[in-house]
Amino acid sequence: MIRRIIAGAAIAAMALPLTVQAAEKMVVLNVTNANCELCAPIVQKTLARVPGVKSVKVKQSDQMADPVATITFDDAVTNVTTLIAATTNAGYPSHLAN
Amino acid sequence: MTRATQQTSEDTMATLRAASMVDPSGKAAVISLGGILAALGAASCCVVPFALFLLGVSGAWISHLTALEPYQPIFASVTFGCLGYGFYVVYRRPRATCAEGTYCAAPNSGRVARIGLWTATVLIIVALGFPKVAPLFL
Repeated sequence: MIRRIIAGAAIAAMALPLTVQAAEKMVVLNVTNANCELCAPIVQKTLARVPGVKSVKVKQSDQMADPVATITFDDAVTNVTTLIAATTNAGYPSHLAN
Repeated sequence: MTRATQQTSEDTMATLRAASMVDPSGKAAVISLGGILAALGAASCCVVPFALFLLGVSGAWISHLTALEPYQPIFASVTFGCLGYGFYVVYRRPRATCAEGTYCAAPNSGRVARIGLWTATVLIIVALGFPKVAPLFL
């Protein structure tokens, strides 16, 4: 009985770092070359297709401004570099907003 | 100068005059090609990137197309200029007499120009109109 409890606690202790790692992260990207009406939906759909992305919001303050993409993603599956590569390969290079 | 010689030289002058007239169908075909190219330039952002996205084509080179976006009004103006002049040449200008055997004397020569002009018209309408309409149902 005690052995089972110890084994269970050991497994939970080993699993704990994994649960901490699979965390949600949020990042804000400034997207360039994308000041047209159709560009924001393209950026939004492209980012939503990246595995690990949980939600994407693309906002454009006005027609001439660069869109700003707020992305929530699982950082165990994807990362900022992959997200930037995804928008760049759709034709809209992006960079981290400061 | 004998009468025969005079007749020959008059015929020659008439033929030369006809041949030197600018071939309207050929000109309209060139204009329609220019219109198509300019319409494609106007479509470079964002109809072409959207089509590429739907087809699953991706690549950093697409950003060269989107970088043309600030020039879209120039492409659109060139397109409308080509279309305006092209339609005028094809539909309104009185038919010039075509010299025998030249391109414009062939019965279908005007058709190529018309197809090109209408293609460019459809392209520019899609290039300018689609980005306005699509976000409503995307």
